[in-house]
Amino acid sequence: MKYNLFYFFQSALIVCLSPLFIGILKKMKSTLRGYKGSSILQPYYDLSKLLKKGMVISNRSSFITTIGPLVILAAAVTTTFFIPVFYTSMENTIGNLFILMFAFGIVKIFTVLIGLDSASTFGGMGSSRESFISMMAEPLIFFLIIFLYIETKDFNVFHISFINSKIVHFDTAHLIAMVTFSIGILAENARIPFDNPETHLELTMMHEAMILDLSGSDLAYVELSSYIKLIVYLIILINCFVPIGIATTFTATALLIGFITFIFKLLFCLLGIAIIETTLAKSRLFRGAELFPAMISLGIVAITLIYIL
Amino acid sequence: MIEALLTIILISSIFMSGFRRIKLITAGFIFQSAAIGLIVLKLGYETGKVDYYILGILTIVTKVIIIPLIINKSVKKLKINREMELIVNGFVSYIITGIGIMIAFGILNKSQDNFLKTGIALFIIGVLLMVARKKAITQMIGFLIFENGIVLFETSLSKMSLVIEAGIVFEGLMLALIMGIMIFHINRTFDSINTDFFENLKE
Amino acid sequence: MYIIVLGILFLIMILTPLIFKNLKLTGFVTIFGATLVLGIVFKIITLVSGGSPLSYFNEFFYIDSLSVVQLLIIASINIIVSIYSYQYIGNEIKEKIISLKRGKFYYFLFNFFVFFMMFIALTNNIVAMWIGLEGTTLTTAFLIGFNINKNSLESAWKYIIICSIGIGIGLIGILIFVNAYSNQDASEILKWSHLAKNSNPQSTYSIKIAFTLIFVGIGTKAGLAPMHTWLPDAHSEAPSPVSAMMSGVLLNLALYVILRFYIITKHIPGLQNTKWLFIIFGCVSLIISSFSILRQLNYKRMLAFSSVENMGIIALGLGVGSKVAVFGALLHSLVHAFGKSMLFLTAGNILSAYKTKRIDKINSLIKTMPMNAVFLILGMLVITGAPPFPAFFSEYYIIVGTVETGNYFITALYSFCLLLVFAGFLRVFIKIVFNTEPGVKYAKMEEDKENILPLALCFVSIIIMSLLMNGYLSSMINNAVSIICD
Repeated sequence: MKYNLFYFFQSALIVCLSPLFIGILKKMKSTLRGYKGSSILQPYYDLSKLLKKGMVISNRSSFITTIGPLVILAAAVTTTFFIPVFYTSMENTIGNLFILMFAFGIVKIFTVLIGLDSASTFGGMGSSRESFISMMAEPLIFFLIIFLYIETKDFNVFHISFINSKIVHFDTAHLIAMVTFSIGILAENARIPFDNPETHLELTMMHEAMILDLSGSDLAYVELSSYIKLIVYLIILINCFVPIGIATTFTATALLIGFITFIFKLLFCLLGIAIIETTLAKSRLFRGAELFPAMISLGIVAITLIYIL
Repeated sequence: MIEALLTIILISSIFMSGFRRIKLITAGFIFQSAAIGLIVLKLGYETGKVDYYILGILTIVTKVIIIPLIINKSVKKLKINREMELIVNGFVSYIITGIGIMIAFGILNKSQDNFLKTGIALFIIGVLLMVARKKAITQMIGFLIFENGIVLFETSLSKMSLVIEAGIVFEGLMLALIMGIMIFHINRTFDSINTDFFENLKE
Repeated sequence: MYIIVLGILFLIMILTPLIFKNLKLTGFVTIFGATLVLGIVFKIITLVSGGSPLSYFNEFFYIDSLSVVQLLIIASINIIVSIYSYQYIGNEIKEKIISLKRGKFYYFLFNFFVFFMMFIALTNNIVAMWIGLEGTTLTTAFLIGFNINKNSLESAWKYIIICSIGIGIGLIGILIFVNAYSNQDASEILKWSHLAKNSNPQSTYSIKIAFTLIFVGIGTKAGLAPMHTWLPDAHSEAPSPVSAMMSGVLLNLALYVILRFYIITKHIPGLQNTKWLFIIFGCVSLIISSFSILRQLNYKRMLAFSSVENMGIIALGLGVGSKVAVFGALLHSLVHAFGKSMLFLTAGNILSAYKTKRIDKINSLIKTMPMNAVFLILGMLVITGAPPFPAFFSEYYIIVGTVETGNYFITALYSFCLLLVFAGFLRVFIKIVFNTEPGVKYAKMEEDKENILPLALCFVSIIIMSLLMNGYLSSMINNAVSIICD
C-alpha cells in the first residue's frame, strides 16, 4: 500500500486552511446580512487567543475531559488524510469510506461524552439532542455510501473520485443522491435548519451545549476539529459527487486546473450554506427531525434507480 | 438537462407528501409543473414538432400561473395556512412515498422509458395526498398532481393530435376552477374546509 | 347536415339562459329545442335502420345501430325532464328558495350537460368520448350542489373527487390502449370504426392492462360497485330532475363507452376472459345494492341504490355474452331510463309537497296525493320487473342467457338479489302509499295536480314500448346486438 507524498501535502494544506474557509463563510454571512463583519483571518486570531489562556476544569469531571479534546483533534486531523483534495489516482492507498465515517464517529462519541462529563444540565441536554439527530443522520450517510458503492463498485474515496470524474452525463439517481448528501452535511455539522451555530441561548443549543464547559486550549482543539469536520464533509461532497476537473495525472496544468476548480466549487458550497443560514430559521427539534424520513426516502429512491438502471 | 428536470420532479414530489403548510405544497407544485413544462419544451426542441411546443406552453401557463393564483386566492379567503393533523402522519407518508416509488420503478424495470416511470410515481403521490389528508384544498392539489402525472405519462407514448391533448389540458384547468369554487362554497357553509365534518350522509 | 342542425340547436339552448332575463322564455326554448332534437333523432333512426351506419366530418361522427339506442334514450328523457324542470324551477322561484340568476344557471348547466351526452353518443373518436365524459362531470358538479346546503355540498365534493380520479384512471387506460396500436396509421387509430374492423395490436398484454384500467375507471362513473360510493349521496341530494337525468341516462352512457372498448377487445384472440370482469363486477353490484336497499330510511337514496342494481344487471347481461342476454341488457337499459325517471320525478313531487326525504314521515299517500301515489306504484312495478312491463322480459332474457352459457351459480345469485330488491321496494312503497296512522286526518294536498304531465308521458312511453316490442323495437335492438355479438 503506497501513500503518495503529494496526498500528504494536500491534506496538510486542508488542516492549515480550514479556519480560513470558515472565516470566508462568516464573512459571506455578514455581507449577506448587510454589515461589515470580522476579517477573514479572524478564526486564526481566535484560536491563538484561546491557546494562550488558562483552563478552568471542574473537579467533578473524569479523565474524559482530560484526554477528550486531544482525541477529538487527533481523529479530525486523521480524517483529512483520507480524502483527495485536488489530485487523485487509482493507486492502492488508504482512504476507505467506512474508516472515514467511523473516525467521525470517534469525534462524535467523545464530544457527547464530554457533554455528559461536565455534570451540568445543559451538557446532558445537548448530548441527548445531538444523539437523537445523529441517530437518524448516520443511516442516511451510510445509505449514500452504499449508493456510491453500487455506482462505482469501490469503497476507496480516491478511486471513487477518479471513476466519477470520467462521467460526462449525470443521471437522475446521482443528482438525487447529491441533494440528499448536502442536507446530510447540514445535519451532521450542526447547521441550520437543525441547529444554530451562532446561538447564545443555552436552551436552543445542540452542539455548543456539549462543549459549554470547556475553556482555553481544550476549546481551541474542539473548535478546530469542528472546522475541519465541516470542510472535510464538503470536500467529500465535491469530490465524490461532482468531481469534474479534478487532476488525475501529475502534470502541472492538470494540477492547476484541479486547484482552481476545487477552490471555486468549495466557495460555491460555502455560499450555499451562507444563504441557507441567512434565509431559514432553526426548526423545532421534532419538526426538523421530520425531514429525515424524507431524506431516507430520497436515498431509497436513489439506490433503486441506480440499482435498476 | 432532462435528467436534472426529472430529479426536480421526484424530489419535489417526495417533499410534498409530508409538508404541512399550504404555501410550501403550492411551491412544490409550481416547481413540478415548471419542470414538466420545460421537459416537454425540450422534447419539442429535440424532435422539432410544433405539437410539443404548444403543449409545453399550455402546461406552463395553466399550471404555473393560473392554478397557483386560484389556490392563493382561496387560501387568502379561507384564512388557513397549515394542516395540523394528517390522517397519515408526516413520518409515515414520506416512507410510504419512497417505498411506493421504489416498487413502481422495480415493477417497470424492463422498459427503458424514464418518463413512464416518473409519471407513475406522480400518480402514487397524487393519490396519497388525496387519500391521506383532511383539508379539501390539499385534496385538490393532490388531484392536480395526478393530472401532472397523466401529462408526463402521455409524452412518452405515441403522439395524438394536438386538439385532443389541448382538450385534456383544458379539462384539467376547468376541474381545478370548479374545485376552487366548490371549496369556497364549502367554507361558507361549514365554516371550515376540514372534511372531518362531512359526516351527515352515512349508510 | 343533421349534425350541424343539432349543433346550432344546442348552441341556442345553451346561450338562451345567458342572454335573456325571462325564465319562462328560457323554459319554452328548452322544451321546444328538446322536441326538435327528438324529431331529428327519429329521422336518424329511420336512416340508420336501413342497415348501414352514417358517418360525417371525416368519420369524426359515427352513428350505427348501437348509438341509435342511446340517442333515443337521451332525447326522450331530455324532453320529459325539460317539461318537469319548467314547473320545478318555476315553483322554486315562486317560493323564493332560489333566485332568478340561479334558475338561469340551472338551465345553462342542464343544456350543456345534455350537449355533452349527445356528443358522447355521436362521436367516433375514442378520446373524444372521454372528453365528453369529463364534460359531464364538470357540468353535473354544480347541478348536484345546486341547493347550497351542507348535505348537497358534501355529496358534490365526494362526486367530484371520486369521479375525477375514476376518469383519470380511465384516461391512463385509453392512453395505453392507443399506444398498443402504434404500429398502425396514426390518423386512423383514434377512430372506433377503424379499430373495430382491424384489431391487430402490437402486444395483447398492454390491451389487457388497458382494458382493465378503462373498466375500473369508467366503471366509477357508471356506478358499478365497489366504486359506487358517490352514487347514493349524489343522486339523493341533487334536485329531482337532475337525479332523473343522471340516473337514467348518464350511468347508461358510461356503460356504453366501456361497451365500445369491449367490442374492440373481443375480436383480439386470447382475450376471451375479459367478460369475467363484467360478470364479477355486475354480481358484486347486485349483492351490495340489494342488501343496502333493505336498510334505507330515505326514499331517494333507495332509488339511487336501485340504479346501482340495475347497472349491475346490465353489466351482467353484457358479460354473459349470448345474443339473448345482450338483447335483454339493451332492452333493460331502455326500460330503466324511463322507469327510473318516472320514479325520481314522482319522488320530486312528493319532496316538494312534504319537504322531507324520510320514509317514516310520509304516510297514506293514496289519500293525500292520489295521482302521484298511482304513478309511484306503477313505477315500482316497472322497475322491479313485474309483467306485462318490458322490464320483466329483459330480466327474464338475462336469466335465460346465464342458464344457456352454463353459469348456474350466477343465475341463483341474480334471482336471489332480484327477490331482495322486490321485497325492499314493496315494503317501503306499500308503507308510504297505504299506511294510515290511527287518529290522523289525511286531506288531499294541493300540490298533487302539478307536474303530472311528465309522469304521464313516461308511462305512455313505456306502454308504447311494450306494444312495439314484437316489431319495430326488437328489430332496432337486434341490429345493435349484431354489432356487439358477431
